[in-house]
Amino acid sequence: MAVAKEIRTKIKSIQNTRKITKAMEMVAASKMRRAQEAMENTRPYAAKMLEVVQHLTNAHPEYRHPFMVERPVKRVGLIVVTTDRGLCGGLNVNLLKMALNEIRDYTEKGVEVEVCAIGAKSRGFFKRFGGNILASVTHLGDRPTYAKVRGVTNAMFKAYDEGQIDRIVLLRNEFVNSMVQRPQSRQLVPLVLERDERLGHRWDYIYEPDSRDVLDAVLRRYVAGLVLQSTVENVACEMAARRIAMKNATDNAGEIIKELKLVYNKARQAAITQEISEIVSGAAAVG
Amino acid sequence: MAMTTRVDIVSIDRTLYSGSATFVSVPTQMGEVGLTPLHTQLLANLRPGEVRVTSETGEITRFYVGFGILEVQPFVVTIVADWAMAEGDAEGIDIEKLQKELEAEDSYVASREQLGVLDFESAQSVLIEGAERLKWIQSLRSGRVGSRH
Repeated sequence: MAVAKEIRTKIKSIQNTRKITKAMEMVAASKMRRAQEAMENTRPYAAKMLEVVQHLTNAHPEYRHPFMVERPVKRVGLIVVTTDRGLCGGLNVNLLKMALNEIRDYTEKGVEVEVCAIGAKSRGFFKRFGGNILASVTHLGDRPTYAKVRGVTNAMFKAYDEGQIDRIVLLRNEFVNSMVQRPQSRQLVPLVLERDERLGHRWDYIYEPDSRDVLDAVLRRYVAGLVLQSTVENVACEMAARRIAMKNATDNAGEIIKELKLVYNKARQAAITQEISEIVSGAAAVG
Repeated sequence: MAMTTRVDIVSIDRTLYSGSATFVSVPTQMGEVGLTPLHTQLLANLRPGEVRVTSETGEITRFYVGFGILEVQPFVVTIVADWAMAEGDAEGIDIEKLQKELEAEDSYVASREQLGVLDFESAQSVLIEGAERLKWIQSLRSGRVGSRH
């Protein structure tokens, strides 16, 4: 019965794995709900900021902020937002693949790329890949806060201000729904804005203390807000992806257990049959 | 009916207030501004402090806001703050604990400053924000309306 025992151990071990994946699935499902809520909650901030920024482009500010001026691109800063942990299906892989494609495109055009890695997976990947990491932050947790992403966004802004990079692009996962998450690339700086035609008339604001300071604060906040939002959204994506991945793993474990049980029973049956035939033939020989 | 302006107070993680008001008082970098409907377009930096919204019925709702942006149009007032709090949020906060935290932060900043490794601006903003928050909660507890820095 040596074979049967081996199979039994195997079944046991897969059952344990299934327990773990099942638990992870449930944890991810409950966390996803919370993460989704958090994601919805950050939307008003970004929406209001966008409104203000749109008004700004409609108005006639006497001062053109560097964030609004396109300049020849020699170096690009890519902000790549991934999760800290794995076991979430193809979420990070898809995004990093997209990042690689972008990097290749830029390199072909003779543009250098600097990376700002958010999340351990992103940082680890670019360290191995040999990307030029300008700034990185990991372990944002399930509730990323402004304080945690401020450091890296400020580093990117500084590099932009100093002319080290001429464009900032954000690569992130978009939460389409709980089944679908899509990698997305978006240029943050200089701002890409369309003139809102509904706001037909133009005006200029009174700026307090002065247009330079206020515009600077508005635009930086807007961009940093977008980065924060993408990290919050990424948590929702992570949980959703993990839930699906773990559900598949649980299902697969079930399948394997079923197959192994069949093999096990066959082996057991064969052993019994063999034993009986041995007894019968033994008895016949004696009789 | 009195003329009203629309007021939105939004922090980074939620909307605190969205409704109409006859008068809004907002702390900005250059001082406190009072906004009535038909105010001219204004864009200003917020400073930590108290926002007071007067509704049509004359009721005053108080909020605490951190750093952020104030945008004013004739019938819209938008307050976008990095950090904000409604009166209800202040109830569960332990003043002494907050005070201790601030003191700890203060000494941390001082020690970092001595080492010369401090992003002074962001550290200062965190401290100012914390101190104002504490002041606001204290003023709420003591029941005074409209205490200023």
